[in-house]
Order: sequence, then structure tokens, then C-alpha cells
Amino acid sequence: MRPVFTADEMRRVDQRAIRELGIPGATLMENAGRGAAACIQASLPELGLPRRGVRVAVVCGKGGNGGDGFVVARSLKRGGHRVEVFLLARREEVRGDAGVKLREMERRGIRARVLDEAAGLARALPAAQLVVDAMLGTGARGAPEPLVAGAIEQVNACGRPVVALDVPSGLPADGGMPEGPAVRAALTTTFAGLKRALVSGPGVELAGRVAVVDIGVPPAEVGRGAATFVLDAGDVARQLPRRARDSHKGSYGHLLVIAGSVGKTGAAALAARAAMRSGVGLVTVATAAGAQPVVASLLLEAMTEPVPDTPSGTMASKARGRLGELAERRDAVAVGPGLGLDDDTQALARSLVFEFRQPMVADADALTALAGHLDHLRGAPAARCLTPHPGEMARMLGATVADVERDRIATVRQFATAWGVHVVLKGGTSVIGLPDGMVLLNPTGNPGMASGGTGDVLTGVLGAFLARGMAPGAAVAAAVYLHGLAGDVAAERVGQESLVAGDVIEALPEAFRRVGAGH
Amino acid sequence: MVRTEHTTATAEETAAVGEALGRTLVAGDVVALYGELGAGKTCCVQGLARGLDVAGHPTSPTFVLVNEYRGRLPVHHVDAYRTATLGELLDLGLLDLMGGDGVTLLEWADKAEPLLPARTVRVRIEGVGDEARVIAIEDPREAA
Repeated sequence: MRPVFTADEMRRVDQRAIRELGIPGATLMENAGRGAAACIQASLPELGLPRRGVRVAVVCGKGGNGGDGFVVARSLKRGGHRVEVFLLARREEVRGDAGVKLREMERRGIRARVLDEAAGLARALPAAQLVVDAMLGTGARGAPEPLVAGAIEQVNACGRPVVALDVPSGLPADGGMPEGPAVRAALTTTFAGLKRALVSGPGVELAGRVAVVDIGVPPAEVGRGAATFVLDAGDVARQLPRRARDSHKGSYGHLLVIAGSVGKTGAAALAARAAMRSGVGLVTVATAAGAQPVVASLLLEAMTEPVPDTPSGTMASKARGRLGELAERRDAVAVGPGLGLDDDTQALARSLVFEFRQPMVADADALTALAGHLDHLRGAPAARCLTPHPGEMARMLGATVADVERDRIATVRQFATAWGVHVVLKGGTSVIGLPDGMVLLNPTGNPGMASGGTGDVLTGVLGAFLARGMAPGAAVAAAVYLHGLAGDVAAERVGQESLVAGDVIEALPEAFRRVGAGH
Repeated sequence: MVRTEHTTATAEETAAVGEALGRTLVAGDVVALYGELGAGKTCCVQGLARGLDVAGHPTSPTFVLVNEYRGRLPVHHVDAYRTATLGELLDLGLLDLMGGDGVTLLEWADKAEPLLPARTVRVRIEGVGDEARVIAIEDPREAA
């Protein structure tokens, strides 16, 4: 689990390093530039370049990012490369630590070529084999000024691999849309810790591979006060319980899936099958009586229970008593897929979410039922995990999708802390909020998973983990990560275009194997 | 949403507010009553019943949960005071009552809040003992 920072949080890390740890700013810059150069050196084969004698163009802005670039240039020259430096400002505009680094670089025989128009780059860059983007860093705000904007366009047009320092220039570090042109990099060497834009939003595409460079601030100091983290496979492997040789099906929990209605039987079956593929011992599906024969025919391994239904074929509120009996002997409940939007069914869904004593994942139509009633979540007698897509999140909050998406991390953090629940906001980078305010970003998954039924699969995986007795935070993190990874495995097999929910279920075993679970 | 507020000095005035509301009720309507013990919810229900042309004198169904009256429409008088959970109210068939062709009058409605339909008329009574009562009515039904 690696911490992820906003520009403001990162500035505070730098300030603490300078003031409290007594590390001079110029030393941080030196460490950053040397670290980035070492990372570039190690990455040359992957960029298709020789290990020595590479013609490198370093394009520097006048601020701190440019200062990092001067150190990179000096370090790469010492490493045996042919370096040219372009400066998008007059020398006297480069001040402070960056000015110191500019003079140090020039004393080592690298003369910065001052450009007053971007066209100068159009002639120079094609002669290079590698471009280093040292124009704008984490602190930049708004659209780049015309000279820098033009340079960004030249860098993107030159056809050479680009390494960005800290963040690709033009990309807002906090994860928003670029307001002007932004550099498209093959590799981004980011300093001290990840920035939001590198793990979520449009920056994921622009940054290429991301490497974190140590700048001499101790990790404990970097992570102090961080509240947003990106998940990795190690987090998941550590959380999954081991399977013992002398265990039996009862050792792995019993999940009750409350789902499905006439015409929406597939959702129930997908959730149940995903749960069975996620290591739970037993699954029972309670479904509307009219839908039960079809659901049963779709499932070999799970049991099904018909419960009273409404004239429209959805579960009736008078099924409540029977569902209560079924839940009593189960370890966790998953509710929502294919449940239906009938008033009677929606009232039933609310009573289950607010009152059942088992840990529960609520999704799909069960989330719609919560709109206008979120305050009751606080009184729920056990953990609640909600897995909305942006539309469902907007409906629950009585807001628009644009409101929800403007700052996904803030939306999720507020929701989770306000109502004391675990929440997963699905989408490009799924965002997980825990009731204590911690936010986890999931790096797995792909656009091919935006197809019907993949959400039901996540509901099943998460329900299985809750039934296996995992703590809800660990269960949510592991389920979201593995679900996305299974989607990536499925995309390798069938391609993103053809990916369907069933492929994600079939890929779960390989996803478990890749994170090293079950050994 | 129409909001009105009435101040009443006596039980009979409280019942009269109920009666006026009762005359406007049609099949499928739900009236939710809120207020402390002794606020006058049952008194208001008696007025509502009068407005629905129920003969006789409703009393709080605290021990039976649901009373049924015949007026110009079937009237279901539900008291949620002794119910602990939404589940009990659902098992009782509250949704069927509210979805049927009668009128549902629900005391201690805060216990059933997540189950109430959007068209629910809410009657909140403030004040106890000898105090005057302030009765606030929120009526989301289309103005007739």
C-alpha cells in the first residue's frame, strides 16, 4: 500500500523535510535529479535504447522542475550520454535552488540553450533519442503559458520516448483534466511519493510507467498524515485467509445472496458464481419465487430458495420473515443484483440493509432503495459495504453524476465517514472509502469491464470474503483488487471488446494465483 | 409539497384539524403522525376518522398494532409504538395496507420512516400536557 499525495500534501512533506529534518532544499533537488537519472539509466533497455551514448534532450522550465532537470542532465552526462538542455526562460529568471543547479550544470560543461519560441524545439528534438520533460512539476496550476504549451506540443510531436520528471507537464497533479496540452510520457519518475494524477483520471494514460524516486526523506516521514493509498498485490495476499488442510466447507463461511427477479435472473446467478469462485464454503441464493427455477438452472454449486414475490415478479416485502430466517444461519449477506425497483421490493431492501445482523454488501437496486434514507445506515448492526457506480452514487446523494465525478476521492471519503460505511465508487480507477476516512485507490481493471454484470461479479466476490470472516476493510480492498485483476486476465484472453462478466468469473482463479493466494 | 401549521388549545380543536385533513383523503393515501406520548396523535386520528365518515370512536391500537374501520373508505389504523424493527412492520403487511385501496393512518411513524411511500402526508404534533399544540402538516399530494 503506497501513499498518494495531492500537490498541497506534497508541499507539506517538502517543508517538513526542510524545516524539521534540516534537509536543505537544494539537497532534495539533487537527490531527486540523481534518483531520476539512475531510474532513466535503468530503464534504457525498456525504452529501446543503448546503455551508453544516448542523445538526450532535457527540456527545462524556470521553476523547481527545471532545477531537477539540470541535475538529471549533469548526472546523465557523467553516465556517458550526450546531453542537450533547452531552457524555456531567460537565465536570470531561474532563481533559488534551481538557479544554483543551473550554474552547477553549466560549470560541468553543459550550456543551456535558451529558447524564446517553441519552434526551436521542432528542429532540435528529432536529433535526440530520448526527451526528458522538466518543464512543469507538481506545483503548477492552470493552463501552461504559451511558450511552455508550445514546447509540450513539440515534445509530443517529436516521436521520441519521453521521461517526465515528477508529473507530465501540463497535467494537474491532483487528478483533474489538463487545461491545455499535456506531455504524454513513456515513463514518469515521481519524487518522494505518488501524486493523485498518476494513479487516477486522465493522468494514468499520460504518465506511462510510474517509478517513485527516493529523495532522502524517510518513508515514515513521507507517509505521515497520508490518508489516500494505492493498493498492490501484496496487500491482498496478506489479507486473504489461508486454507488449512483439515478444513471442510463450513470452515469457509456461508453466504446468502438476496437477488434476482423475473427477467433479471442472470444478475443473481453471476453474483453467486463469483462468490463460489472466491473461496466461500457455501452459497444460498434467495430469489423471487417466479425467478427461482431459472436461477437454479443457471447454478450447479449454489442452493436456491424461492421467497414470496410481487405481481411484477420481484421480491415482496412479506418475504422479510423468511429472509430473516435464512440469514440467521449465514455468515454474510449480499443484496441487490436484479432485485427490482418495485416500491414494495425497495422497502424490503431498506429493511434488510438497516436491520440484518450480518455483514452485508449492498449493490445495484438495493442502493437505489437507500436514496433519501442514508441516515439510517449509521444504525446498521453490522458492517455495510456499498458498491455504487457513479450513477447509483449520484442517485443516493440526490446529486448529479458530474458532482460525484468532479472529485471522486472527496465524494467517497465524505460518504464513508458521514454514514460509517465502506463504499466502493466504481469507474476507471475504483475508489474505496473506509469509515475512518482512509481512501484506497485500485490500480487493476480495464475499460473492457464496462459491460453488464461485472458489478454483480464484484458483489459476489466481496460477499464471499465477508462470509469467510475477513474484516470488512480488508474484504473490500481484496475484492476490488482481485475483481479488477480478473478483468485484466480476461482481457488478455478475449480482448477488451468482447469481455463479458462471465469471463471475469472464469479468470478469478488466475487472479488469485497471480496475487499468490491460497499457498 | 403544501405545508400548513395550526395552533390548537384543546383536544377538540386538534381533532377538528384532523377532521379537515380527513375529508381530503382518497384511496391509497397514507397519513403519518409524529409526536411525543400524550401529544394528541390518537385525538388527531379520531378527527381523521370523522373526516372519513367512520362511525364510532377509534382508540389507539397499541396492543393489536392494526385496527380496521369502515368509513367512506376502508381505514387502517396502525400504531408502531411497540414494534422494534422495520422487519416486524413488513411482516405485519404494512406495505400491503399502504398499497391497498384504503387509507392508512400511522402513529409513531418515525419507526417506519424508511418504509413510507413518497406521497405520505406527515402530521407533526408539538407540545404536551396543558400546553397549546402546534400541528405542522406536510402534504406532498397534488393539490385537488
